[in-house]
Order: sequence, then C-alpha cells, then structure tokens
Amino acid sequence: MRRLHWSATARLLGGLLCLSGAMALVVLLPTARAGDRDWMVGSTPKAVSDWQEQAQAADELLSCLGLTRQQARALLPLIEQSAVVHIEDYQSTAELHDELVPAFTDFARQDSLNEGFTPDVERRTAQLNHQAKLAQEEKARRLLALEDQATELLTPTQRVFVEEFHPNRQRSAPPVDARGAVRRHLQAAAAQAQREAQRDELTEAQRALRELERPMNPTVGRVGNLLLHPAAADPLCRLAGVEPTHTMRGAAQVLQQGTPAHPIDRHREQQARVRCLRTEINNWNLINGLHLSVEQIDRVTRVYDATRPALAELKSRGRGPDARRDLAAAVLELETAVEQVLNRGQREVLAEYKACLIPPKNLKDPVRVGQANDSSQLERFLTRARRLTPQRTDAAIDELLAKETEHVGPLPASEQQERRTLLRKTIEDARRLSDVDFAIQKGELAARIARRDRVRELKTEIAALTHDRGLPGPISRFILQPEFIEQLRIRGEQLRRGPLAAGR
Amino acid sequence: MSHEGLNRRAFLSALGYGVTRACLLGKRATWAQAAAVATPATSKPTRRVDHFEAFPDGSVACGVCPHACVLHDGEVGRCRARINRGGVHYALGYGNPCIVQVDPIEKLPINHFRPGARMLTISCGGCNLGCLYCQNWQQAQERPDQLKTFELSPREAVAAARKHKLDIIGFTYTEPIAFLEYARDIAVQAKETGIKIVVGTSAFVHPEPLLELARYADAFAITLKGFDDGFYQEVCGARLDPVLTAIKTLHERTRCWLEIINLVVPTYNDRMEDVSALARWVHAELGKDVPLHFARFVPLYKLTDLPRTAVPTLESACAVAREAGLRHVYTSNIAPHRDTNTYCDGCKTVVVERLGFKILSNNLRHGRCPICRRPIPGVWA
Repeated sequence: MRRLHWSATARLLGGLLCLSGAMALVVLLPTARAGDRDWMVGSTPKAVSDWQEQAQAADELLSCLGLTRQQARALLPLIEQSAVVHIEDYQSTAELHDELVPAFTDFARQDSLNEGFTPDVERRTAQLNHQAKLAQEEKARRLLALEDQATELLTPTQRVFVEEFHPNRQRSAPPVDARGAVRRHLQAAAAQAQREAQRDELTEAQRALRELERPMNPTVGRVGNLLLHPAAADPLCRLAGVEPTHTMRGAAQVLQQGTPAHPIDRHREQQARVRCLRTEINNWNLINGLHLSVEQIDRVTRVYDATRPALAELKSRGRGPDARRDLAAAVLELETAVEQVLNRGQREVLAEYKACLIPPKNLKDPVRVGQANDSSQLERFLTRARRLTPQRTDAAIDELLAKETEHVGPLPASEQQERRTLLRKTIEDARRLSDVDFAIQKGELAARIARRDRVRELKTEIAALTHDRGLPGPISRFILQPEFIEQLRIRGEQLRRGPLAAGR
Repeated sequence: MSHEGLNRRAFLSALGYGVTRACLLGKRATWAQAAAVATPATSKPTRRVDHFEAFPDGSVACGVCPHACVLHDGEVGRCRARINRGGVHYALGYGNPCIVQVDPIEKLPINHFRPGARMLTISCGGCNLGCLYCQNWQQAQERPDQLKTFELSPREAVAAARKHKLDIIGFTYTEPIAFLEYARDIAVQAKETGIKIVVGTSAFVHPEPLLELARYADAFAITLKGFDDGFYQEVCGARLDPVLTAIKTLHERTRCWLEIINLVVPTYNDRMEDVSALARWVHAELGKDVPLHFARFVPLYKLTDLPRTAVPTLESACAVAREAGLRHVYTSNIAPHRDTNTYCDGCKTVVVERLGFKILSNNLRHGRCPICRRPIPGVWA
C-alpha cells in the first residue's frame, strides 16, 4: 500500500514535470531569444528509472525465468550488496548533481556565447564531469562484479533468457511455466539473431564496436539491471520464502522516496536538469563548431519546420514495416535537404563529431595561424623517448601503452609484442637522427607509430553503411532534434543582432 | 634593455650540472666544463649585424628597426636578439633557431601562394614587438640564448630543406626581423638552389634591411596589427607609421607576393571604422588583389581577460573590407567557415576550399577559375 502510494506520487510528479516541460516548450519556444536558455531545462525531462516499472519488470522476469528456491536464496546476498551499491550511488549522485547543475548552467551559458570558457568554469565543469563519470564507472564495476556472480548461479538457458528479456515484449509472452515455450522462444530468437548477424554487415560492425567499447565504458547487463535491482528483492524473497532484509527495505525506500537531504522528487528534477544541460552543451558545441551562417540556419530551420508535420504524421502511423519504411524515406529526404545546406567543411566536422561536454581541441581551440606549438601526443612521446636510456625507454613504452588502452581500448594479445617492437624500433630510429632531422621528421615517425584506432574505423564503417542503406545518420542524430533546432534559432537571433557584446 | 652577463638561470644551470658531474664522475668534472656545457652555445654571437652605427664611447645604435636602440657594451636591444659586445653589434640567435618544424603554408597564413605546400619553418628567439596577446611568447619574448636551440647554419638549413624535399623555407612564429641576418643568409643560399622563401612578419622595420631580405624572398605575410597608432603603442609596443611605410616599400619595390593579416582583438581594434580604414588603406596603397585576413583572437599571454573574437565581428570585418573594394578577404582561426575559401571574383565559384589548414579541394586551372577562366591573383605553382 505504502509502495503504491509513493509510486503514485512519483508518477504524478513525473507527469507534472513532463506537463510543465511541454507547456514551457509550447509557450516559450516562439519567443525564445539569445540568453533565454532557462526554457531548455525541464523541457525534456526523460523518464527516470521508475521503481514501479522496475518492480513489474522484475516480477515478469522472475515469473518466466523458472528460478529454483535454491537459486533464489543464493541470489539474495547479491541483491543485498546491490542494494548497498544503489543506496550509496543515490547519495553520491544526488550530492554531485547539486554541484553539476550550477556548473553546467554556467558552462552552457558561456558555450552559448561562443567566446570560449573562463578557466574556472571550464576546470570546474571538467572536474565535476570527471567525478560523475568515475562515480558511474564505480557503480558499474561494483554491479558488474555482482552480476558475474549472479550469472554463475543461472543455467545457460536462463542466462540467454535474461539477456533476451524485454519487459514490454514479454508481456505477451507465453505462460509462466511453459518451459517448452520459453525454449522455443529462445531457439527462435537465437536463430533470428544468427541469421541477422550473418547477413548484416552493419549489425556485425555494431556488435564489434560494442565489444571493443565495453572495457572502456563498463555497462551493466540485464542480469544486473533487472535481476539484481533492489526492486527485484521482494519477488525474489517471496520465491526464496524469506523476508526482505533491512538493507533491501532501505534501498527500496531510498529509491522510492529519496533521503531526507535529497528527496526523490528533487533528485529526479536535478537528474532531468543535468540531462537537459548535457544535451544543451553538446548542441552548443556542435553549433559553435559548424559556424553556420544566418542564411544556413534559416534554411535548416525552414526545412525542418516544413517537414515536421509530415514526419509527425508518419510517426503516428505506428511501427509496422510500411510505416517504418515510409518514415525512413522521409527522414532520409530531410537529411539530404539539410546536407545540401552544409558546405564540405561543415559536413566533415559533422561526420567526425562526437557528442561531448568539453569540446575537443579541434573545435574548442584549433591550431591557430602563426602558432608554433602544435605537436601531437606521439610527437611529444618520441621527443622525450629518444633522450631516455634503454631501461627508461621500456617504462615510457609501458606508460604509452597504458594510456592507449585507456583511450582506444586494449590491444589484442597477439599484437602487443608487435606494437612494442615497432615502438622500440621507431625510438631507435629517432635516436639515430640529428636534432634537426628529427624535428623535421617527427611527424612522419609519429604517423608510423600511430595506433590503429579500431573504434574509429568501426564508427566510420558504421556511418558509411548507415548512409548507404538510407538509415538516419549524424544529421538526424544531432541536427534534426527539436532541442538542436531551437538552439539553432537562438544562434540565428544572436547572429542577426550582430556581434555579441564583448565588454565594449 | 637588459644587461648581458651570467644570468641567474645560466648560473643555476651551471651549478647544477657541475654538482651532478662532480657526484657522478668524481674529480673529472670542473666548473669550467660545467659552464661550457650549461651556457647555451648561442651566448657567443657569431655574426655582426649589418645595420648599426658605432660610437666612440663604445655604444652602438641599431639600425634595423625604428626602435633604434642605443646599446652600451653588454646591452641587449628591445628585440632581445642583438647585443653590443665590445662596441660591435652582434646577432644573438644566429645559427641557433629555437623552432625547426614542417608546416602547411596556410599556417602563416598565406592563401594565394602554392596552396597545400609544406614548408620548413625556422625561427629564432626574440621579437621587436611586445604584443600583449603574443601567442608564441615562450620564444618571441625571450632572448635567443636563453632558449633550447638547434645548431643550424644557413647552409645546413637549406641542405635540410632539400634533403626532406621541402621547396619552401618559412620564417615565422617569432619575428624574422629579430633574426634578420640569419634569415637573409638562409634566403641567399636558398635562392641558389631554387627554394622559395616566405616570411611572416609584423614589418616594424626600416625599409633598407627589409629590402635586403625581400630581395631573396618570394612571399610575405604581414601582420598589420591595427590601424590606430595608440593601439600599436599600447598593445604592441610599436608604432603604426613605420609599419605602413615598410608594407608600401615591399609592395612598390619588390615583386614578392603579399598578404595582410589583421588579428581582431575584442575591445581593442574591433571597431568597424578602424577595420574600414585599414581595408581602404590596403585597397588604395596595395591594390584590390592583395588578400586580407581577419584572424580570430584567442586570449593568451597577458590578454587573458578578454573573450575570443565573436565570429560575427570577423564576418562584419570581412564585409567591410569587401565594401572597401578588396576582392579576397578571409577569416582565420575559425573553421569551417565560408570565408576561409578562395572564390572567383567574377562568377563567385569556390576555387580553393579549405578546412583549417587543410585544402579540401583546389579547382584552379593554371591559376584561373575553372568556370569563367578569370585569372585569380597569386602564385599557384
């Protein structure tokens, strides 16, 4: 009863938030002006993880999964630990969000002016963003460790089932204990997946990319997200025939009501704000990097406005094959229209753009005319390494390899020795050169040891395949988004008003 | 002007080296050895300055730039690169560049001279200006003998360019006027081998020394900091008139290709009246075909409290310059931007498309527009 009460309150608050966001959007958009950036916040409050939905999903999963009582009992200590992780994460995230919101707001405001960032604002934002990333990674790592243990407790069939499980889809799934149906479902799903993988280069590339990125961005799987979520504690305890522990109840309370210092409604609001600010900053970074002219902005917004009703109509037709095909065709047409507005340089920037909070150097601070120092990381590495003793060279190589692993993922074991040899040889070559020859050739030497960036290659491949098949590309992902278009209108207004005030 | 002698850095360096050597090698290390290694090789000037006047009291008057420094024995000029030693004026950084690297020519920036070509860039420490926003202040605002440098004679510099198949040598980043003697000697050698010379300078220099360099040079990218003498004095530590004279001299008395760069600093030189005056002067004195670049300011060195130049300001500057009659006006330090491309003045076709320093496409046909065949001014091959 109590749970229902809180859940209903949360839903009501969420609904109100959405409604107020939508109203803000309707009322403020036409009059949005440069500097009026507050309309953004709260206008797109995506649904935060909802306890009720989590509980329902856990119920469904457990009812289909056919866990034995023994398995359920073995899982309970893991849920207990997961509850601790969730409680701690709630507290730390809530505290962090209180700092993130003002920092991101300042950052977004400066970003919107396209005049660079003051060092303190940039530093604070980068630090907090890093903290948030670390907190997220820490939570993921802890949950992944628990997930591994939980997965060990499941049978192979159950593992596959959990991985394939989708709450919405499963609602029309076969009856609870129809093992045969479950097996058939699994077999069919596996065969379907296999067929798709065989015929689909795109799927294969996407899968390879996921595999590569997994160690860099640890993400919790379905076992961790569904089976080990504190919302699964109740049904699992029922199955095990025991009462939920104090910690499990505590987690349930925290995730439904929050803590006295950080009530859930405020926490959700802050989460939504941070999400909106991230989107806003990402958009400003791209807008700043594209340098669209007023005419270009007008053309893009005109194209968007003209096709939006038709797109909405197509979207409302549902997700049937015909509707999806028509929608894809319309989106492609829209993309093509926008692509024609961009010049070649802008298309290149867009193709290489990666959503980011702190803009990459090439967008934020490109090498300037007449600027001397612009050597790459590898050039600096070679400059340093050629002066080191052989013993210290190996240490420098280890350091470089560790950095590379952090940034572009681990190297396959078979290639590690080869790369080490190449680095040693290149350093030797660099040592043999005179200082002047090295200064002239360091770019070529650095290019020789530049590590193959498989992630980048796969992304390029995916982008090409996506484009070839008429699937939505970066123009849809970044530009043809309502928030982006609205920010673009603001930039248009800024440009129309002439040079931004620069303290004169 | 600073007094020459064993400065604090050199002393500490020598001391550190001596102590280390003494510890490592016992009695073999001597203070003399330590000093010989730790003192940069450039501390012994190797070439006399061509333009100076010596006085009976042992002082010299430098004749390279309008600062006209009068230096007593041991004193260094405002450019930090020339010293009076025993009544003779010497170039400090001669043969010891602090920067040797390979760059695209667009980095000068020069847009109408061999687009996409790579050049061997050579620079020595020092500069006769003291711009508050200097972006190479680590080299330009230091004495050449206090920097980590290369040993590179003019002959070796040209040999290095040839060895690496670079047929352009560029002097930029710091001020070539501060190492004029070295630049000139390299240029002389380069000319014999067919290597082109391009110079990025602020042109705060007397016409004669400039012409000596220009005789062997092929292109100049001249930074005209602003069009207000107050700005020149307050922000750059120089004066406007000598710069204008030098630019006019180059235009009138040499056949060097010329491009003008103006860094637009918010609140200092971004008034459109000044921009208009500058553009009109370029049009009147140098002609409508001389490219003019408006570069975006980025807060650096001592002007870190200002924002970057707003893109619309640069666009307005371009518009003003075009109104003044200039045909080729560019923005720098922003990309991608339409004003970084070269257009045919007749049919407005994009003839060279750029993204930063990268040439995306070069559609020129023998220096002409591929559509209307109108010649585009520049040195294209």
